[in-house]
Amino acid sequence: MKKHVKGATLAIMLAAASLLAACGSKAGGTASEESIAFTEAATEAGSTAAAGEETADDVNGDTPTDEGHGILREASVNKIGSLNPLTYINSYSSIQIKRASLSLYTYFPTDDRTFTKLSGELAAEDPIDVNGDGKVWQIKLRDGVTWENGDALNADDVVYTWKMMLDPKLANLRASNFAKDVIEIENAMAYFQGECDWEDVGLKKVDDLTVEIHTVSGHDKQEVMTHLAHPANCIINEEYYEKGMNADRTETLYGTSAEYWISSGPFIVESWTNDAEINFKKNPNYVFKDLIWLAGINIKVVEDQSTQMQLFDNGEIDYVKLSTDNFKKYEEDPRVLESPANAVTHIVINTINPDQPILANEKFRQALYFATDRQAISGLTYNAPADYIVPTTHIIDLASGTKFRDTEEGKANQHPNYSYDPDKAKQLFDEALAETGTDKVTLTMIYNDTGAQTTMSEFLQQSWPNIFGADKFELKLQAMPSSQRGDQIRSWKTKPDAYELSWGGWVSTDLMPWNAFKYWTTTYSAKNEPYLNEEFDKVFNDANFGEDRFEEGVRLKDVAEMERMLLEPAIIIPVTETIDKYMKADRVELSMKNWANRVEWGWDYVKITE
Amino acid sequence: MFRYILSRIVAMAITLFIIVSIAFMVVRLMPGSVYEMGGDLSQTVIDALNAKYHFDEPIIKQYGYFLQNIFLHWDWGTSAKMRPNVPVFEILRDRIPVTLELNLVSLFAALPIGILAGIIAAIRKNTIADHLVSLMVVLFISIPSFVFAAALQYFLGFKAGLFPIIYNVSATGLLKWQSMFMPILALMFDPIARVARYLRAELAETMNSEFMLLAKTKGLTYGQSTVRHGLRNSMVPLMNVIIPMFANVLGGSLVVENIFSVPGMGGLMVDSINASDHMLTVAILVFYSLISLITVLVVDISYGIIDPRVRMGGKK
Repeated sequence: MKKHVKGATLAIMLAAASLLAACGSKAGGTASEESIAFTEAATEAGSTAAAGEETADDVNGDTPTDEGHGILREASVNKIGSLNPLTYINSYSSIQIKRASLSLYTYFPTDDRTFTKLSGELAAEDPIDVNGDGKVWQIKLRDGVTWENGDALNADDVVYTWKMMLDPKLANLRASNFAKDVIEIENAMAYFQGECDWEDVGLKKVDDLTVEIHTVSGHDKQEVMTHLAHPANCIINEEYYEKGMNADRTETLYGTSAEYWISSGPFIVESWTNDAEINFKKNPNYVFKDLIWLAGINIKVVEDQSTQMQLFDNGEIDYVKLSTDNFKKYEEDPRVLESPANAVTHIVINTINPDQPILANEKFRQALYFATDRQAISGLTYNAPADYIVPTTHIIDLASGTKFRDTEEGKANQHPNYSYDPDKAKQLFDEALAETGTDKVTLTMIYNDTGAQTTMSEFLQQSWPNIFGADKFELKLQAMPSSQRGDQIRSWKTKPDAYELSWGGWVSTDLMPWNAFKYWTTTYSAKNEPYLNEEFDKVFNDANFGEDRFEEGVRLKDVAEMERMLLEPAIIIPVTETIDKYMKADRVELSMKNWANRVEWGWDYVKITE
Repeated sequence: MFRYILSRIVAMAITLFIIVSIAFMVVRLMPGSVYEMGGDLSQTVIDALNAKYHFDEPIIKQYGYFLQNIFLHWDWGTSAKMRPNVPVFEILRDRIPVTLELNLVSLFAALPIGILAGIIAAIRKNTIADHLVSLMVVLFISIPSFVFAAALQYFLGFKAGLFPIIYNVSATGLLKWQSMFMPILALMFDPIARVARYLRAELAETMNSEFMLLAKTKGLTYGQSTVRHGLRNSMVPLMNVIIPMFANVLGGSLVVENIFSVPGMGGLMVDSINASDHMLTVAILVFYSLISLITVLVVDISYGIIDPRVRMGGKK
């Protein structure tokens, strides 16, 4: 009898295993069975839905309470490596740092919830230009601001943060923040390199509620505020920073676990399991607590995208980033939100590769530029076609909200049909071959083995030979992990044959497009392309540090000029502008009426309607 | 016996030292700089960081600093990227318990099932039960564990709602075990099949041995002869399969842990290599090597105990 029972048990197990395996393959097949074309209607529907949401019976009350209402549940493929603003690595960490920390200035939604504004968070008001030359700025701090434990947060904390950021022994990663970028602090790098005393650095405490910064060149208040709104400038707590410090003061554990962290921002870290889960709760003492409706935020690390989708469909998370396949499936769903990623994906070209001298030929690069069918590619990847470098989201004038791409100068760098012109491409290609005495070109493109780069690379592998002739052009593809690819393309300085073609996609400063062009300046530390042009450097310096840069139209002209200098000789080949897609749960009521720079969909400001 | 164990431990220490040295060299010689990562880092800061961690010095001097820190301070370094400034073994310490728990439970649960299936298949050789076990073995071995994991997650977690879709790190007690059920089950299929297959072959061969015939002629029943003589003799070689399984347990399962969002050892090695987090990568390699070496040591010692000829070597 026992033998029969055992036999039956085995049979059931086998049947179950077979069923599960069969069902698994079926489930995999449904994800991409339909291909629906992307339409603007879905975007508008999503945005309209977001804007028009109202609840009949608002459980949140008329104004936010100190405790808040409801938990926003997020899932992330990224991990928070550290909450230390002076050492964090990835931008995802910086988002969480901002959630739990104060900075002098930050970005808030405008009152009408359609745009973003830059204003004081710990700072009580805009910075004051002391001498009128834009080189000495005083910042008044709010009185009565506290840390999570009730300790006062004042000028001592701000100055301690700056001092630790530039500490020569700690050599913090984010010390770069006070190198010559948006602003350059007097003697900051000299102190960092141990060449002067702290007293010589242009970062001072005036009194308990006033700090002062001295810059090398003159700036306007927007530049100062923008710089100080960077996550690296979030204020650290001396007691906890010192608590985590090692004996020789070269490293600290600050921000690496709940034990070594104290909050001061909109939210407080309630619990934190590294690389797995973090729980925030509303900070009842936050300066702008009346902007926060939520009681808290729960973030789980879920690296698998299909698992994230299941969690969303099961009502366990409140919004999810959609993969291309999932976007096809939910394209018409009014819950879909679009979020521009502030980046234009482009082809990077190694013009000094000794094995491929044709890449140094301008006509050949232009041929590739005009042979790229951006509309077809964007149809496959569900992004926007782009024959430009400055993304559509980039603002040339924050006060008026004017976008660079909407200006005449911006439009002048764009061409009909997104610069796709096969005839012109073929003509340029033939001329380039004649000039270089080449019969056939075989190039290798390295790309990330996941995501849209695969689709785009494979498309170009098919389409370019169709234009140039299969007997004259061949594109080989080589996939590799993202970090390995990044290392390889950046190694051109020591290894000129490191790569031939690859992909780039800088996420740049959307409110300062003139600053984003630093990636192509001669001195930038992590350049993808061997582009060294003194004329370009000069325009960049004029736009960022020139005496007349604040005059009307100067920066606009400079940005257009820098973009033109990269596009005309096809130093890079822009292809698409990345648009992330999200889907949100009905229980979440957005406060933003549309996507806006920096605050995006304003997840921290949402209401939970259940 | 003591001399034998001592010689094995010395050999293990030498092997570990060689592995550590090779791991350090290989990781440090990988292309790409730790801090040239495409962010907005100024060259001054990159240079300062390289100097701080001696990345700007010749590889042999770096190796010297590495050994000096280990032998003088037992300092294996800190993570540069994944959790900046956190000692590398602290990161492993956070990850190992969950992986251990998950994998040990799945292994201990799988062993009796695998053994049972193997016994049934062997004593019912060439019957429907044997064929069913063989089919199960083929399915469980040929279908990767992540397929089972995805299917379990979709049907039992998402569709049926019987179990949480992902592992719940903050849960305790029954809720915790409930969230661990599916990853444990997904990890069980492979060891069940391997043990069943191996035991079936061993036991079937043993059952045809002459001493089994002798046992039966002594008057033992079929069951008594199978358990007392057949099974006991078949279990010794089975250790060859089971002990390495324990070694693999600490390695975790990259894909299963990923699917169920288990913060274990599974993806740590891949993440650290991709992040160019050199000290963490070396620490993980050392950890895995140590586990493998300890496993080999245990196997060697147990063989030495079971069969004295092994520890005697070529001595007469």
